[in-house]
Amino acid sequence: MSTEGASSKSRDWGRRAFGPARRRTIASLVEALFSDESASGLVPAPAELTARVADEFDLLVGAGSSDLRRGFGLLAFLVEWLPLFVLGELSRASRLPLARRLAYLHRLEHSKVALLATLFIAFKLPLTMIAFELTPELGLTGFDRDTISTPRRALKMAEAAQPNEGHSATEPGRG
Amino acid sequence: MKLAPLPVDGPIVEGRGIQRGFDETCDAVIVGSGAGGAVIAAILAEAGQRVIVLEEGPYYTPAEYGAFRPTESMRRIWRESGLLTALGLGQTPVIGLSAGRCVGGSSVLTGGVCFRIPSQIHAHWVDELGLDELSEKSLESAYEAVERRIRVTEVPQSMRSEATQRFVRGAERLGIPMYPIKRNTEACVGNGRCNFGCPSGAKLSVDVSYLPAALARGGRVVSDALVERVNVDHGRAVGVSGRLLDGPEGAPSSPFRVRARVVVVACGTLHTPILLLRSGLGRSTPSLGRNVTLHPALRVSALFDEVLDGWNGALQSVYSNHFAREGITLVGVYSAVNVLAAALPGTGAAHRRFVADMPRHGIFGAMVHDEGGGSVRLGPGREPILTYRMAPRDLLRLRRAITILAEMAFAGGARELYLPIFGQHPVRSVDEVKRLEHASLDARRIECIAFHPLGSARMATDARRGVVDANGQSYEVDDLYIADGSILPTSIGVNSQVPIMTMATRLAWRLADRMTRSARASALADGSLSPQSNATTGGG
Repeated sequence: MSTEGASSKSRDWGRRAFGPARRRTIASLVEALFSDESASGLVPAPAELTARVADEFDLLVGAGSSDLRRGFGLLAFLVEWLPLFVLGELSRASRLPLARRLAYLHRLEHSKVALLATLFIAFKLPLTMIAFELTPELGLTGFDRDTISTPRRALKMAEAAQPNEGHSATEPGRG
Repeated sequence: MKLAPLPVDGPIVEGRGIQRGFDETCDAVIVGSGAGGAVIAAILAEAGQRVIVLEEGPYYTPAEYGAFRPTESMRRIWRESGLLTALGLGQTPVIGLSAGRCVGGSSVLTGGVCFRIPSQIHAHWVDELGLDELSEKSLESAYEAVERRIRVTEVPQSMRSEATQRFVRGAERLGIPMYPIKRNTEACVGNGRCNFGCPSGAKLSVDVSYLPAALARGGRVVSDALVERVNVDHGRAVGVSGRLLDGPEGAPSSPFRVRARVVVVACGTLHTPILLLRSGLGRSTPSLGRNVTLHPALRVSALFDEVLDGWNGALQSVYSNHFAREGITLVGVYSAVNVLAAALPGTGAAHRRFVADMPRHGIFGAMVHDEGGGSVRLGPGREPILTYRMAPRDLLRLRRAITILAEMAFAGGARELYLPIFGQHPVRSVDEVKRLEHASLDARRIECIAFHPLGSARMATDARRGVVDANGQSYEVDDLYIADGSILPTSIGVNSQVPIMTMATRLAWRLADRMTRSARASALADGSLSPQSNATTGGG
């Protein structure tokens, strides 16, 4: 799925944060984070998902201030080069085979060094939010509406209007 | 360069679209359109003052932002795309901050929770800080006016999600009383994603509840307008200047200036001090930018045996102040499923397995009434740097809160818990959680979020201890007022939306009276008004 670019109508500037090298790093993280297993072994995240998530993450960080963009550029640089210290492998993260990349991310997540765990979370949180807000990943959560922005239909408004039962209406001492 | 007046094609002017700067004059210019600024704008406009509201963020209608996906919302209407973080000093958890950057400000992103300031906080302000005018009684009429206008009502029990009910049941078994939360919603159907904009348009944020009143009385709102300076002349604020965000990729470009009799700064706790510092102020008010409190909060996710579909219900519906003496407030909470998926541990197939259990997850949160430790400083770019050093007492409270939430979850029938600790495997018993509470743990592994930064330009009885007086007026410059969360004298321990709006209401009533009297005196002096004419604000 393509993402929106800049247009006055969408009021989205479409500003980006990362150059080609850092975009490759992000894409390699996405490929590993949302990989799966099959009978024949590890399966990287589908190319379409990888492209969409990496693209939207670029736009997300790009919409922030220059400080934020520079900060995430530095974090992406660190993620790219830390395998040497975390895995002891002389390789960039984006060039590790998928299984080794997963092992690298696992080590970061469970690292005793809090800053390494934080570095992992800085990418995992926004990338996962982007990945799981559209189908088919959204479907994995069991969410039962068409899209994440679809209003809930099931609630009967009459039911919603019923008063509380079995609980004090107002906490003592509070107005 | 001579600038033209604002275009007259509509009350809300999108700064990025007018492609030229402007020069305007009004009675009151208000910087920021959130819970403080919008309230001031509406009340002053209703009192007959000509107001202009300048908002750095864009303008979206409720229908537009209600249709955003969560990360779209973050990109378009959250400050720093929702990736804003306090820089922790020492043993301080990583604290993500949620703040709005759009017409309506953070009120567009709240869960709609409405609390009054607890009685003991009011008493502390009066008895120990000498702020006699901030008693509960003296703010009563302002509270009532706010609650009426934003239609504060109790969340009915039928709006509690099944997930919340599980925690409530656990709390009841432990003897922890739970109370229904009050919120500013109308016809809420329980979409469970208020923080990203309501898909049903049910939340009465200030862009819906206050700004239309200002616009109806001739007020103007300019979006995409970055105020860079409060203009001061002979010790008096006389207006503001800045640039519209209409350059390439939203860069500041066309200059603007607004001249006014009164300047009200309402940019929020993080940006108000920055604007004042960039305007050369703060020399005689040393507390500017200091003493920031955040109400650090965390949540625990619990896996139950049954399908709960926790997304069906109000985002927040119950709370408990049972642990108020320990500085902990418990709050029922949920969020968009993609956000919750992001908080689950693991990568690849392992993470997918956790996500597949999402329909059986329940979430509950806790918030700590912190003692401060935050500072806002000028950064290298446009955004401020927020540092925060968590007090050891508050860190203990956070860890205690995790244990309390875990006890509630297990008492409610949870099978395993996902704690807000980076890299922590799921836990399966209260004993395990209690051991963790007392184990050695790097605080930076604890995942926190804060929604209520407060106190960087505190109200106090003198300039040594605060930045504004009890009327919100700057100690440093005449005709400069501050009306946002930055003026709250201490942490309040509850959601700050109604407290900010209430303080702004009181301030606006007084300001409107003063401006009306001043205008009347001028008119009488120049003969344009007869002494029999009457003018009132209608405020309390």
